[in-house]
Amino acid sequence: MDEIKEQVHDMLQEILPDVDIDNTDDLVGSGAIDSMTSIMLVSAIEDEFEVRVSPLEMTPDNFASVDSIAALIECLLDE
Amino acid sequence: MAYTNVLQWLEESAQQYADKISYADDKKELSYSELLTQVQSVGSTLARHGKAQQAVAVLLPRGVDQVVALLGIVAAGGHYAILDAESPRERLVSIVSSFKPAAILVCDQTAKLGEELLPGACITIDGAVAGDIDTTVLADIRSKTCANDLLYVLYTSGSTGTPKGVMVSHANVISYVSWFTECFDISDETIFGSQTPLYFSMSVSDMFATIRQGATMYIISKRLFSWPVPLVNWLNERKVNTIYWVPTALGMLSRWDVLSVAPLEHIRKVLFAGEVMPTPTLNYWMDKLPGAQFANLFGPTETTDICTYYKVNRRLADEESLPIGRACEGMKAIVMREDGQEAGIDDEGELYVGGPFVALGYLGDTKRTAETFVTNPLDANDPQLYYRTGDIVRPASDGDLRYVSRRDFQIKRSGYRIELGEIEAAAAACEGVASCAAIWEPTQGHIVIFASGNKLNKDELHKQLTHRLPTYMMPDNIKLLPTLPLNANGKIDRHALLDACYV
Repeated sequence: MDEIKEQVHDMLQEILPDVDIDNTDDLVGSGAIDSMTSIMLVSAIEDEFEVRVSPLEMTPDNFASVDSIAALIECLLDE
Repeated sequence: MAYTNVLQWLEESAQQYADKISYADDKKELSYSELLTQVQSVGSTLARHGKAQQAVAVLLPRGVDQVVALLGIVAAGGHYAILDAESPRERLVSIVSSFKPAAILVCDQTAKLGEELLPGACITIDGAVAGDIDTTVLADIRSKTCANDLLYVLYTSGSTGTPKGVMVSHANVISYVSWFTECFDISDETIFGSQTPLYFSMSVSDMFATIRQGATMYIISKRLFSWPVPLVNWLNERKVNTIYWVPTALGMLSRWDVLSVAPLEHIRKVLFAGEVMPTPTLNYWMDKLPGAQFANLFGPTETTDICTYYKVNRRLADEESLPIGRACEGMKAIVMREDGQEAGIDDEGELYVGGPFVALGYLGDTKRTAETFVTNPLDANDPQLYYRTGDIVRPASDGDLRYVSRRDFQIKRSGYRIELGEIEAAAAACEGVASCAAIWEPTQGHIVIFASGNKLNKDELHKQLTHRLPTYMMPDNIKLLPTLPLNANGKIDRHALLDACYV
C-alpha cells in the first residue's frame, strides 16, 4: 500500500507541479483537482496500474487525498 | 399583454407562483416572492446611491446572487454586464473601460478586485439585498423605461482578442425568449439544470425563460461537471427535466458511458448550442433517453442567442453532420455566396440574419457595428438590419441549413480548400474518440488533430481517418490528450490548442 501511495504522490506532483501535495488536506476542495486534472489523473492511474476506473468511482471523496486515491487503486487491483 | 420590460415577467410570476422556487444554487434557494423582494431591494439601494438608470456591472461568483444582482440593476432602470472574477486582469480592465459602469455589485470574495477595477464605486450584494424597498422610486423609474432600452451588454471573446460588447435590449430578449419558450414548450413544469455561465449568451435563454414561465432553474456549479456520477445524482434529486448545455458538457456524460451506470431519470428535453454537436455524442444520448426531445440551436451573441434551430426527428449516421435547421419563427435567414448572389441548394455562403432578436450593435464601436449590422443584401428597401454572422452555411434540399464552418475555419493547403469542420467530424466518428478538434497551424501550413477518448492509439486513429477522408484532407499530425482544454464558456479552447502545436 505504501508503494501505491508513493506512486500516487509522484503522479499527482507531475500533474500538479505547483501544488504542495504533502500539505494539501483536500485536493478536491482546494480546487487542485478539477475537471481537467481529474481526467488526467484517471488516465495516469489507468496506464500505470492497468486498471479501469469506472464513472461510479469518479467521485470527490475518492479523489480528495493521496490516501483515498491509493485506497481506490488498491480496491481496483483486487478486483 | 405586450411586454416592454423583462421584470414584468418576474412580477407576474411572483403573483402566480409566490412560493415556488425560482432559482437555486448549492447554497441558496429563492421563491418567486423572495426573489422579487430582493430584486426590489437591490434596485432601491442602487437608486439611493445615485446609480439608477446607468450601467452597473456584476462581479459575483456563479449562483443565485448573480441573478438577483442583474435583475436588481434592471429594477433600478439600468443595464448590466457580467464580470467573471476568474478572467485575466487585462480582460476585466478592458471590459470595464468599455462598459464604464457607475458601480459594481460585489461580495466579500470579490470586493478587493472590484475596488481595484472601480475604486469607491462598489456595493456589496448582501447590503443591497437588505436595503429598504422604495416602491415610489421604483415605479417612477419604471415609468421612464421602454422596450428599446438596453438590458445588458455581453462581451464576446472574439477571435481577434479584444472583447466586443454586444448591446441587447429588453425588446430583443422579450421577443427571443418568447420564441424559445414557445418553440420548446417551456412551462411552469419545466425544471432547468443550468450549465452556462452568465457572461455567455446561452445563459439568457434558460435564465429568462424561467421567470417568464414560472419555471424553476437550478444552477449547476462548475465543480460538479468534474464528477459525472455525482452530477447525475444531483440532477435526479432535483428532478431536472430540461437542459440547455454546450455539447462538450453533454460529452462529459457520454464519455465513459456514464448514463448506463447512472441513468438520468427525469430529463425530457435536451437542447444544445454553442459548438458543433458531434453526432456520435447525440446518438449516445438519444439511445439512453429514448423518450426525450433533442434540438440543435444555432446563433451568435449578436442575435441575442439563437437564430436557427433543428429539432432532431430521425437518427443520423455517426458521420452525418447535424443540421442547424431553419430560421426561428419571426427571424429571416439569408445565405450569400462570395460572388454576391444568393446561395441556392447545395451552394455555400455566409449566413445573414434579420429580425427582432438582432442586437443593437457593439458598444463604443460604430465602425465595427456598421460593418457587420448591414442592410438586406438582396433588398435595399427592407428596413431591417441584418447581422453578418461570419458563418458559412449550406442550404440543403430538405430545407434545413447545414453548418459548413466559420469563415476563418476554411483553410487552403496545397492548393485545396479544406473545411476543418469536416476533418473534425471524421475524427469524431472514429472509434474511441470522445472529443476532438482540427487546428490549422499556419506557420508550417499543418492540420493538427487533437483528440481525447478511450484507449486511443495514434496509428489506429490515422488508419481510420484514411477510410473517411480523401488524401488531401488527411491531417499532418495527431496529438492525443487525456482531455481537451476548455475556455471559460465550457467550449473547446482552440487558442490553447494552437499554442500546444508549438510546444
